[in-house]
Amino acid sequence: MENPVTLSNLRLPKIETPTGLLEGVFARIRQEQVRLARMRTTLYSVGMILSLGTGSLVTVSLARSLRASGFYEYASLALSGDSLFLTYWRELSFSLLESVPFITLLMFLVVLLVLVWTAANTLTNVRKIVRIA
Amino acid sequence: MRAIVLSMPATDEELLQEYLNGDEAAFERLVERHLTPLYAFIYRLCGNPDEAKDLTQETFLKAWKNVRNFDQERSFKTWLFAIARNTTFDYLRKRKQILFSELDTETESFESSLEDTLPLPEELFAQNESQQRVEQALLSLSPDYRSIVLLHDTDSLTFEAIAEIVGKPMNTVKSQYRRALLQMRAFLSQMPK
Repeated sequence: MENPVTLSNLRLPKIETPTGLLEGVFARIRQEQVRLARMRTTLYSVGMILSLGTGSLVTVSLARSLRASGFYEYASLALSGDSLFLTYWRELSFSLLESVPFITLLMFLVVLLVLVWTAANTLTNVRKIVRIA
Repeated sequence: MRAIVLSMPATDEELLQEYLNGDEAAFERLVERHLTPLYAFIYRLCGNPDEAKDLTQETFLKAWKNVRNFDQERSFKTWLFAIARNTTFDYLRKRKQILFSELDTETESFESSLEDTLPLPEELFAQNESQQRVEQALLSLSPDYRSIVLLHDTDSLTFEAIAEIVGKPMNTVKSQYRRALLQMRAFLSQMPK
């Protein structure tokens, strides 16, 4: 049986919250939101700069690889509308495909994706800072 | 005759879900709802209004930071008061106002974990006990006992909820509550009128 012990006559004075406590709580939370947003902005900005740097190197490497593999020549032949291409379209298509530097292309796409993602997050966090502050 | 539709205020769980769905104002409403009882609880634990103000802000900040990890099967109020209690005890510990032994009751004896079966009179204190005397009696308790009494009597939490907040078995909480009341009565009887 639960002990029916109560302090119903325990008359403690009512505690009033001090002025500004509610605003203080919200101010602390806003402060923390801005701090976190600033930290994320810094991290994403660094990521963006690194991916820009890496991206430019990968782009140059991709362009060189495409040039060296003969991709440009096969592509211009395909787009020329020459009757030779129409006759040997199958062989030329395979050659075009083989000349694509897939690894470098994949790296380029990954770096591009990272760049877009970091840029979007940087912008989101900057907007958050502006909105809260 | 016009029908008047009264809408029930949203529960803590509903507000929490609204906040998690992107409604920032929902968390603000949760803060407004629990601010006064939480501040009163912390104030009675630490005894200083300025410290209580800081600790209340810190409690809500911790709640905000961890709200996405909150298990929604639990009571939000219970969770909030657990944060408040732990935050206050950490602060009191750093201030070295209390010894670790006063907080650490994991070494509680077997006997104290048993539920007392002797009934106590409902009115433990004389009707005309002044508020000041009762407050002093409350302050004479250890922070651990004090928090249990406050949670039960001023915040109207069940022993089950209190057990969850303080991280002890329910029987231990009931025993400590009873012991706290006895200590308060002994203190009051020794105080000059």
